[in-house]
Amino acid sequence: MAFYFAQFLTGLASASSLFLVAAGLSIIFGVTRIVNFAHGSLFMLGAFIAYSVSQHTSFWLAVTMAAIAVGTIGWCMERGVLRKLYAAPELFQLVATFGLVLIIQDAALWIWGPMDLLGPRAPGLEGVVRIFGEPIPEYDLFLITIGLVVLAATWWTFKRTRFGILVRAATEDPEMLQALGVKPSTLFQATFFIGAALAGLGGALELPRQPANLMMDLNIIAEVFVVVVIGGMGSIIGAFLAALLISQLNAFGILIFPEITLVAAFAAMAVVLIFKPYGLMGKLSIATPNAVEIAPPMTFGRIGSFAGVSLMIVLVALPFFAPSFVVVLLSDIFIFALFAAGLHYMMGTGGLISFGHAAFFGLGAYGAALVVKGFGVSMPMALVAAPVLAGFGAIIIGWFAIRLSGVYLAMLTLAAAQILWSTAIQWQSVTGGDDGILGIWPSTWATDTTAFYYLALALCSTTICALIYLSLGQHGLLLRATRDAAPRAAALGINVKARQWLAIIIAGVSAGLAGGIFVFSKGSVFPDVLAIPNSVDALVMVLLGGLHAPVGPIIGAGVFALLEDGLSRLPYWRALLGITIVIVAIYAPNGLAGVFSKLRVLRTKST
Amino acid sequence: MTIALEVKSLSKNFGGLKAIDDMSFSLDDGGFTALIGPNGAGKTTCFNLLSGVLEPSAGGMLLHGQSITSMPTHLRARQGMGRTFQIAATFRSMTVLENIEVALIAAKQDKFDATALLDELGIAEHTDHIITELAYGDIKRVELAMALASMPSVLLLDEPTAGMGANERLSIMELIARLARVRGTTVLFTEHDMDSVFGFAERILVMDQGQLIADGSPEDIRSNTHVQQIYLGDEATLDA
Amino acid sequence: MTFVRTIATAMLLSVFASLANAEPIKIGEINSYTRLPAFTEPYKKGWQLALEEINASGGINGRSVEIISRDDAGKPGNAVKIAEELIRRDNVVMLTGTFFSHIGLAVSDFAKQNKVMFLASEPLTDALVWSKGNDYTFRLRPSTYMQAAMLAAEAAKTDAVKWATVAPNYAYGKDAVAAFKQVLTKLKPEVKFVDEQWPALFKIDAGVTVRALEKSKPDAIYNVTFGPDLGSFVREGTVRGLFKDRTVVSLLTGEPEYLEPLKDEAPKGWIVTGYPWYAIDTPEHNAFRKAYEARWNESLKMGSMVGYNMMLSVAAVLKEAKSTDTNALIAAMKGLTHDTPMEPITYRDADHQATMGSWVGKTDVIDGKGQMTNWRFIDGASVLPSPEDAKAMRPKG
Repeated sequence: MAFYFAQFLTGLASASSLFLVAAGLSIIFGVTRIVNFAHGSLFMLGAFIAYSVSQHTSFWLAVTMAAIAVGTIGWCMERGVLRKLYAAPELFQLVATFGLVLIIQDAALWIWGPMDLLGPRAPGLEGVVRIFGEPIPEYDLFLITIGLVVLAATWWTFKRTRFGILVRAATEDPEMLQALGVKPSTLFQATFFIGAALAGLGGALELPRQPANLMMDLNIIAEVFVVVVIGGMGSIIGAFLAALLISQLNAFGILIFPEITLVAAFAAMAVVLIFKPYGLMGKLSIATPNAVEIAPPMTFGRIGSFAGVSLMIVLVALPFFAPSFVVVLLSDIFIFALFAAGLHYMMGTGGLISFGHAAFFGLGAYGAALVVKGFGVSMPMALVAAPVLAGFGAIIIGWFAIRLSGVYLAMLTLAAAQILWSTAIQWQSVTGGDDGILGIWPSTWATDTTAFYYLALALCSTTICALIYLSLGQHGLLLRATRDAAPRAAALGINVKARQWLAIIIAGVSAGLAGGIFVFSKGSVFPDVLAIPNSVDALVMVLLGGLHAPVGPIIGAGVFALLEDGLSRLPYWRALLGITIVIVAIYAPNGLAGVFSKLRVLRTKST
Repeated sequence: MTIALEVKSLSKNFGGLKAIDDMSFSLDDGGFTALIGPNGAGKTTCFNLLSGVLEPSAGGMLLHGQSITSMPTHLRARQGMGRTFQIAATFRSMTVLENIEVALIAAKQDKFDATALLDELGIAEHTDHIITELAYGDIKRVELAMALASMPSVLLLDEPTAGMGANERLSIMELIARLARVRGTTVLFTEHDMDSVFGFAERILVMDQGQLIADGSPEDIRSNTHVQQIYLGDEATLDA
Repeated sequence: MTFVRTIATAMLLSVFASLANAEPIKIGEINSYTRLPAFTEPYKKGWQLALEEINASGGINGRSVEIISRDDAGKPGNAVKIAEELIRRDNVVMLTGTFFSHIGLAVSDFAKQNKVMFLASEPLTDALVWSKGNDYTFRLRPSTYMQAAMLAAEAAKTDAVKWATVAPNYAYGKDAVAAFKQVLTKLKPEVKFVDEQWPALFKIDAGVTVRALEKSKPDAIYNVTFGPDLGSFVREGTVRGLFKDRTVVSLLTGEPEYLEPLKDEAPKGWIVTGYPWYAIDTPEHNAFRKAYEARWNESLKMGSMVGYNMMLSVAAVLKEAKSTDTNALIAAMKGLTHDTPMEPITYRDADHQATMGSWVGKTDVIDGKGQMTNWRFIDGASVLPSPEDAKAMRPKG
């Protein structure tokens, strides 16, 4: 019994530190509606800053200063970047904060160097106390206390102070703020400061538990997302309960099934979302903003068709005069364009954001690889199996996802992708685990780069054209109707959920095909095809190209591939990519297609 | 007369609040009925229950004798129930014509003359304009056009003339009444403008605090003391 | 200092100038530079140093060597794309590099498909040369099995019977535990494995993991966690008394990359594999250390040694093959022996694994720094299976 109580306390200490970070994210989301991907980066900065300061002064002062410094950095982020995006749909904010992640990554590498930095222990709390004979570190007890203090303080602030009332008002009904005569910008700044300071505090307090290192940001962010979603976005009590649930699940889970570490949190999140779609304590806000901007598809009329046909002719003729590496690079771009096109269909036309599009790409990739390895089928059969398996995945994931909307839907897709990702790692006998599946090369007739190029071109261009046709046709019209005004569409007799489900399945099938072709171009598949960065890449491509232009994914994938290829030769290239992403999100919300169209309008006007 | 819509002991609670409290009424086929009541009486909640946006806490309803209590919105629509929203809901990324097209596709109506309808509603000139370029009154008309284009047998109109001038109101109400008569559509509408209510409704239902407190011809309602009490201070409007 | 550097640069430039008439030999190098800078930066500095030395001494067969180095950002798909570009656009004669096992495997498979030689410098997975080995791939660093076997031999000498293991929940961790169990059970059949913990890589919840290990009351613990996980594990384990009166055997922990960040909190008395660069006193190593410290103004890491040796292997094989043709390179690589700052190494014909060894010793804190003591060098050849056994593990054909 003593053992289990001690294990519970240990879990509680982990819950506390998780809660600090999650509370900040939850408050920021509640007030500003921004899903801050860079929250993990703020946590990491907290640890690094506390490390640096603690080299010159006491640990406790270092913790305080780190919290204030990170709060200030959060405030600067709000002023410098996010302020310009409040009117923008959720997607842009998310992508912009992902750009910030990349920038902070490289900044931290530049400032603190690559080595892990082990900070000091907390003075006065180095020892253990015996509880029922079990040793419990004093620092764990301190963390538990801090967690409860922060919980009580935020609860009191929200219930009793004017600031808290305003925050609640903003969370529940932003329009009420105007009625109360408050300038939202002041409140947003304060919120960002506090939210970021909490992340910084969490990071600084982590220093006695783990070395400050460059992987802290992405490692914590996935877990914090889980906590905030399980708890209900915007709910502090919910975040606390969820942190407790996740930590205890881990603490006791590993006693029975040590391998549970990878999948536990995401499985819990999926289960909670199925039964409580808005989290344990969350409510569907009255003012759920549109996930994506509502706009007509951006077509380029005859010029567009002409450009499309010319592009196709050039692409078909290309292998005759271009060097072979260009041919290889273009094959890659086709695959990514198709990957992005599916996402573009469900997101642009359907208004359904996915943070887990890699799930379908990965299902296709693994599907193709597994039928080749398991049944020895040839490439053409594998390329059929890929979209079929991804389609089945989309049917299941979609069935759960369509019950939600906006950012909750996105989070469920993220959870689904993470569950598949951990399955791919864990299920070694089938998927090969991290070692992946090797030797999946094209049939002999397609081994040659030029032959493979034509194969990729044919499959990808046909599917992309089909997607464009769908989105501009009757099917797309009805899907757009569900996006523009779901209650209106339903009242006209449109089965909104079924339409959305179908859109997710179509997106899944396309991504699955892309994944299948991808395996044959690389010869191997690994769990990283299912990982978060792959999903984010797809989002960035869609955004870069333009959410409302049917040709957006093609432009986006092309530019993204060239950018990555070009930038990755430079030092600190991730920061450069991050800056590019932020600039696009702020200044070109309609992507490059939007920029072209604006230039066209300007030219027409000037002539 | 057959019954188009029958509502039996309908209730809806939000937490402890009874938004709709044991409401029963039925609408005859082809009737033109107004549902009135002060703000917060529960009119919109009632519409949302009828169209399936909300699920009732108790009670049920029948459409042409068939229970639709647990039927999702889109199936009710396919059974012939159409509606408009208090705040006009249209497809904002589409042109006026595309909005109508969506309604026609959804209702599988392929022989409907959309142009004629738009003409009658006075928005023909906007046919190819994106909705966001239109004035609010015109957007209301587009929504009405959508609802009409799907040829419903029962049409729920939530303040169909809100945001319009007095003359416009009159013409729109006349148009609705005429089309309903021609097509035999059963109409239930809410309205704040008492001229529209008393000028067009054949029958009036009055709600207060979630309950149906009066049901009768315009004359009955005008002389109903209970209704006058509720509308105290608004008597002038009632007498108009 | 600046003056010396200027002179050195000038000298280098003049050497390059003299080599300019001949086209340089291009080598493609791929690594996860941005994903894992802590391990890949010292590695890069290692091979850069060797490259400069090789070119300063006249290059190879009259031609200078050029390395085209690219970052794969930790994605195998990227690595394969870059490999394509390197052979197609840059016309490199061979590929080298990679850190993560799965990326090593991806590039290895690509090399086989495209018939180009690949020298995997850092990935540890056994599959690379055994179960998924191929004709085109060679590996430099001592593999998971080799390092685990070194430790298992030491573990067998202790009294410990009940063992618990803790390893990151991914392929490297699984391999490292399996290899250790296999070798230790063979050496000492009475051992029992009473618990295993699999914390997520770089996300260890150290407190609960330590307590779970404690619960099984083992005599000894075999640890495979590394990087930030190791720091957390050591701290939580120490404060909770997990390591008290227990034997701890720990993979790679003696490498400066992992031991140095622990500073004065480095564990004492753990049996580890690692690299005691501060204490090795041989002429070859002294020269290497001096050159490295002069060039980069920082201390050696394990990665520096691997990077340096990788470059030496590349130079040796180019010299031996006297050609840049893939088949000639592979033929030359099989059985190739060359000197290193450590002992000389040989690429085995049977399984393409280099016999590069490692140091095994005990950890201690000296002058506030974690160091290895009582160490000795173990030749890689001594812990490898026989050539016949190794060959049997490789795919046929």
